[in-house]
Amino acid sequence: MNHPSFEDLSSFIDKELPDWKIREIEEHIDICPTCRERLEDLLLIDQGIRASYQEFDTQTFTAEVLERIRPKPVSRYNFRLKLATIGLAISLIFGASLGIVRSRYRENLNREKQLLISQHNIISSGDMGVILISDR
Amino acid sequence: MYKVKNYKEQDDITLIKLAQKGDEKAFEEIVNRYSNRVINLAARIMGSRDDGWDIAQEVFISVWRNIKSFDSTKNLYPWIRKITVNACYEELRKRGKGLESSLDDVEDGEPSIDVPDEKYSPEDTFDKIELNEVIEKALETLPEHYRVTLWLRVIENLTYEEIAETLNINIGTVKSRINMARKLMRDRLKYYLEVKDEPS
Repeated sequence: MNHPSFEDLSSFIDKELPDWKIREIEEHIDICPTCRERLEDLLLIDQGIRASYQEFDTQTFTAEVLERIRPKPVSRYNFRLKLATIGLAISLIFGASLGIVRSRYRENLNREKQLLISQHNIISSGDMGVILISDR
Repeated sequence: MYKVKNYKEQDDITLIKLAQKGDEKAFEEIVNRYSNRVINLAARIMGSRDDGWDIAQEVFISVWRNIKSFDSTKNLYPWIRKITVNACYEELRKRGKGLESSLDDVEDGEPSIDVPDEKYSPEDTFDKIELNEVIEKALETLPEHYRVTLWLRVIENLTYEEIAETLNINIGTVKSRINMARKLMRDRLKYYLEVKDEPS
């Protein structure tokens, strides 16, 4: 046979040729040093590619994958912290509101007190007309 | 669910069934069993070990999320390999690098892509590094679609038909890519291949 083509040699090492063709190439290689050398070069390249296969640290890899698939645990500390923050905020709002209400109540009380004192002073002085006018 | 003592001794079908029921240990064994191959494949497609590592993690997370829908009577690794290839191409597409695979049409002849060979200079490196490193460097400089096809053939030991199925291309394209990849490799290693035959 003629020298097999590069494509045939490539398919030959991949065992992707019909049996008769494989036999033909095998017989040719036995008698043709040029083709044998070409074939050896291709086999050498394949061998080098196989050697480039690396061993990775699969334990670390597996641990990282498992870490990522596991649901994240809810932290009790975070939950308590959130609860305390909310409680504190509510207390502050409540306290502030209470303070405002109390101060307004006191203001009103003082105003009433002042009014009563002034009315009392007027009554004591006997000028009832002023009271009627001031009531209006 | 029955308790399994030694997951390493279980076959894939058992591990799949256990993992489908949520058994994390079974899944862990699946990851242990195939991670090295997946990282190697992804690293080869992506052209970077770090990227290969990251993509491989995404692949196994995807396997875990989809394991319930996997038919346990089928082989597990081809499914994982397919996910890996798809994930890599998706990532390359996002980065705008993966278009060459879909654009090439080498089935009927020589590819139109001219491959610059700037990274690898045999004259410079021959005396310094070993044969396998030279070959690996030459492999790294191949266009990604040649590199992957050759890798699937040589490392994963797939037939042309299986490669075609994995990459969603036809057998003619697989054959052309492998031939072209080997031609490019041979051309790039020409200096070394000639030297090795000379008597020392």
